[in-house]
Amino acid sequence: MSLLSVKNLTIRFGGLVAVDNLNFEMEPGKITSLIGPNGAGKTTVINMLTGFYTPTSGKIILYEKDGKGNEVPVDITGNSTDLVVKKGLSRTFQNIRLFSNMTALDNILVGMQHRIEYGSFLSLFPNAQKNKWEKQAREEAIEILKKVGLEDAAYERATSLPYGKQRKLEIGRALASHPKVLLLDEPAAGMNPAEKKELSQFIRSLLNEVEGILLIEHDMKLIMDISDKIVVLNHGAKICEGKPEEVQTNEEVIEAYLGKKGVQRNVTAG
Amino acid sequence: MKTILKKHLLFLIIIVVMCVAPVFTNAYQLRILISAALAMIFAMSLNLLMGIGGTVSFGHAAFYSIGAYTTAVLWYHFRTAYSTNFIPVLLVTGLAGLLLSLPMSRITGRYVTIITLSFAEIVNLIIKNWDPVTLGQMGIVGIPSVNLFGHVLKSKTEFFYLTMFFVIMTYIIMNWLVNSKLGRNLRAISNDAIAAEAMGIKIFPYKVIVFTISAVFAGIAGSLYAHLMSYVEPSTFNSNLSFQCISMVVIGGLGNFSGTMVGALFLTILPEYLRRFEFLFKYRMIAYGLVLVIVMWINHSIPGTKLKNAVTSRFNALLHRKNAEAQEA
Amino acid sequence: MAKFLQILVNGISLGSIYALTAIGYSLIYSILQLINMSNAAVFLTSAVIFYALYSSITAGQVALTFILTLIAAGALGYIIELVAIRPIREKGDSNTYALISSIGVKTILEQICQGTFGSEIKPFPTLLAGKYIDLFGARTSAIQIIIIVVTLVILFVMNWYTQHNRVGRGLRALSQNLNACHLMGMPVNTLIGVSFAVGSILAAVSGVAYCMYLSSISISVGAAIGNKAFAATVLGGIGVLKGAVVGGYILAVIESFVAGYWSMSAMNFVSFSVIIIVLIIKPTGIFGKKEQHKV
Repeated sequence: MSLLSVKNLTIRFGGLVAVDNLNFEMEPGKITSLIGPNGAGKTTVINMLTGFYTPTSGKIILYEKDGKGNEVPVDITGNSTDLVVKKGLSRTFQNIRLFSNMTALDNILVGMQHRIEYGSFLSLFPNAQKNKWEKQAREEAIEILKKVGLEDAAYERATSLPYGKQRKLEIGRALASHPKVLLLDEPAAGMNPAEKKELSQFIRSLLNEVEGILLIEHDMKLIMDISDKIVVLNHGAKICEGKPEEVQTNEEVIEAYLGKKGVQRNVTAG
Repeated sequence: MKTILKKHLLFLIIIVVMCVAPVFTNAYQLRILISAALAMIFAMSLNLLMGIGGTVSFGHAAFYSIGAYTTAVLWYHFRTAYSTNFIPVLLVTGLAGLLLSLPMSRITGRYVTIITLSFAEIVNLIIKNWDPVTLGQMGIVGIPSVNLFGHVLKSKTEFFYLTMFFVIMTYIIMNWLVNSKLGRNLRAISNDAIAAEAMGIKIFPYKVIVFTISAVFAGIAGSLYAHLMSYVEPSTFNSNLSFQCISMVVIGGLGNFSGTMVGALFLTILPEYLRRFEFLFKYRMIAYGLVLVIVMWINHSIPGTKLKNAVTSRFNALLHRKNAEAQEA
Repeated sequence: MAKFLQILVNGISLGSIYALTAIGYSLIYSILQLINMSNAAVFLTSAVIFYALYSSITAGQVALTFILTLIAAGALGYIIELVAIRPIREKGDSNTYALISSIGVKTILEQICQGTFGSEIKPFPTLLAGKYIDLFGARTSAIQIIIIVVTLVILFVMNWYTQHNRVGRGLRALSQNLNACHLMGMPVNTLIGVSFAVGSILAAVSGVAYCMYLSSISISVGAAIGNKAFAATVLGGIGVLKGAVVGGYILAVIESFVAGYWSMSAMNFVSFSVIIIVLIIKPTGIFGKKEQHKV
């Protein structure tokens, strides 16, 4: 059983190898986390998965169910962003990127846009199809706002919301596209411990909405709390993969975070 | 229903005042009103591109001139009526908009501005030098009044109401467009193109659409202009016309169509009013520039618009909560 | 061959005029990412100031009039920044708003010029009128040579100044990171004001030189050259000083060859087409660096 698998993924920018021969699998119903020191290439991985960057080599495979319930691998390597969204990957950004001058509701509606099936031509005049879709979309958008706890802020401008709610709205916007896989890029950045705790429960609850979550985060406590599997990157290459408790004790990981001396001190102290 | 009324109150007031006005005006004032109505269509079309599409265009006069010249050239060579020319005007200006949008597949941000400026210069140069078709520098003179399917609009009052019809249509269509998937996605792109891409929006087709629609409406205004003035000449459609149009949009607030109408009305009437004062006569067009600087200085739209937005958003939120409570109960 | 040379010299002297104005655009853009549309109006205003001074107070003294004009232009540039750009900049608004404000300034200046100067073409004083230099058979007017030499000197000084001087270093730092400069306690506002003044002075040199070259002045010179200089800036890569200069010369040389070997009316058409084509092939202009697509 697999949801998404990344095979030998590599990207070069000029001479720099940002991600080097990366392999990992995401399983359905699980939270997979991608961690590593700054500059390890985590966000670059998300950018490749969502079609912002085209990998130099390697494959990204998404498994879809066919009519009989069999798993069918679909190669989404190098697909454009709009195709990737249609196939069921949706993301948030490290530094919040909401549509700042639009209301919370409109933000959600934009997230939903690829499922709203009336075109630009029908947008130009009132017609039954447009009205039907708009009504339906609005109702659904309100539902999504309720899920992320923002139903009171539906008509507020996105930038007027407090920081924590902006994060939630961004997640809501990503959910609105009905993704199979949700990619969260540092959702806890800038939050205080209480907010982080709430967020970690919230992220867990998202597994009811999507088939799998890929999480990038710096906060180790949060990561260890909620991840089912952790993939550790350093300088673009995978150095370790496993359950939280396995990763925690891995020497290479400690070395990547603290340097060689850190390991020695750990050893001598222990 | 009430909220709809509230949202479009300013628009309704303008329309009612404008439509009643011909009863009180003399021929000269009526002419100014027609110019203002044309400016409204023209500026609203730019507002779609700037306020909703997020593209600062320095070359919007190009579409206006293409609309004016399409009508004028067709009349000159084939003696066709306004109503016959209408569809060709839409097609030619739409095509011009489409053409200008093509480089946008590769070009973003500030480079768009220079492309629009260059495009307008090229259009103007073509008009100036394509003598067999446009009669070059001489311009085309003697364009008759509007002929609607055989009915000739003899008086300027009739012409005025035709123009007002187009003003109303433009406003209504713009509103339909803005409150639809198309408008939402356009606003999303102009807010944050990368986030819009991440939501699965393909940016380029939207650029093509917004440029085309915007061009078509500017063309409608331009073709009416040709009939109003009864002549067209290339020098009218210079970059100053584009900048004046920007002033009208900016004064009313980007993305705010009824505001744009106020801006167009204000900036058409003000210079005419200033004509009365002999010492100001020569400098009356400074008003356009002063308005831009002052408005940018104060609040980048009519003072208080920001406040108004804040108030309406609170009001809507409240209203929504009330509705939700009512539903639950 | 003589015709070829003559056209080349025409192109280079026109290119000098484009280049000087283009630097003004590029300088401001490199610091604020702002297309300062008022630059073209300063070009015109300076020529009008020169004309007004020359025909009244400083009658007949070209050098004195020139210096006074430059001082006035510098002050004008500083004031434009102070009144129309700084308040918007300090509010932290997007530079689209500053751009619109600069269009306002452009309109105001142009209308003042039109109101005071009128719309007719008037004779403009020139240097060494009627003197020609024979350059390998090409008949070159003295003023053309003066323009080319003066421009080269200015470009050399500008280059030296931005590379080796404190103010120049400051300006380069500003173009790297405005906020950091602010935090480092640099007089950011003064430096930006000064760069507007410098841009305006260059536009003034260019404006006066152009009218001397034509030996006439009319209200339309601003729009004609202003738009071209702006286009040249973009052609070379906006925000890169070297690009503005190269773009100016390339555009002018192309124009003068089209005008010389084909027709005058094709000239503008070709030059704007070249710009569109270059931008489609390389959107950032010849020397422009790619803007980072940061996700």
